[in-house]
Amino acid sequence: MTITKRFSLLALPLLTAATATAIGAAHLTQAQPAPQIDCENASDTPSINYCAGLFYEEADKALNQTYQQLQSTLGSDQQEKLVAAQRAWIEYRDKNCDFEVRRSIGGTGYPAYLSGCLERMTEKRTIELQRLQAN
Amino acid sequence: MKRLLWFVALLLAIGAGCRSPETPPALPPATSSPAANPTASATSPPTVTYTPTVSPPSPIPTPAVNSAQTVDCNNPQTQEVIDRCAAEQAYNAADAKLNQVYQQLRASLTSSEQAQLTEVETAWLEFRDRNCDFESSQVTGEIRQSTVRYRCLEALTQDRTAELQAQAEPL
Repeated sequence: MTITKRFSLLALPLLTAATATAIGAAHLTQAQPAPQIDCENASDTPSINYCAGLFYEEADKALNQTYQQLQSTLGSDQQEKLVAAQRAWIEYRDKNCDFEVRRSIGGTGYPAYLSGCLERMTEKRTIELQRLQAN
Repeated sequence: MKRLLWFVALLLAIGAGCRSPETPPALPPATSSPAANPTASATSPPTVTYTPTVSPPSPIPTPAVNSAQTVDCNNPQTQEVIDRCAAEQAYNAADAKLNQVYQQLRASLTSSEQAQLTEVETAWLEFRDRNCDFESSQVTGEIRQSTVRYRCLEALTQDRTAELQAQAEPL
């Protein structure tokens, strides 16, 4: 688990760099995914796509955990409000990331860009919910 | 004398009998005072005064915040009101900045991208309002709720401004 998180942090500059060259994504190599992908050193597009998906999954798990913790501290009225807020956030997250990566649609790096956006937004939301729980 | 006491007792009983139906209505004011804040009720229409069409020329609309509240920001009498007015002012500044960045970004987009951005902003507005409904529901008192709501709106607006600024940078 800690290793995965470390990978996640290390991958951020990688993804950022990849995003910056969105149009150049087509130039990345087309190597097949290795049987065991080392996300710390992923350099080919399929591996980067795969690892970006993993990082997002991790972020999503962390958000769900924080969300459940916060919900358990609330009365039913506030729980309803948080559910409404979170539903709206999911809608916003998806639409925002679709917009953000719109110019890479069709490119080989598209999954990584999308996962990178989702991961970033998810981590931010987790921090927001953690702050609300601390209040 | 005994008859008089009986009469008094009867009057009291009648009085009590008359009051008792009033007792239940006496409760609602206690529970409905939070609902005096129009933003606090989950069932009240979302405080979305904007229409969900952020059409190209229109700026991002400003949300209604506790319109029922009478707060004189020109002559605030308490620290609570001073805070509330400062929060409103800070939010308005953040909102103006967001609109500026939004329009700049919009101008750089194709028409299909503009349509997509409109969808994103509409979703964001909904999230912003729902989220700040929740955040402000965590405090009590109408003015304090209003202050927290404005601060929440300001924070989310600043976040969104930074995101749109990042979008405006060339890929």
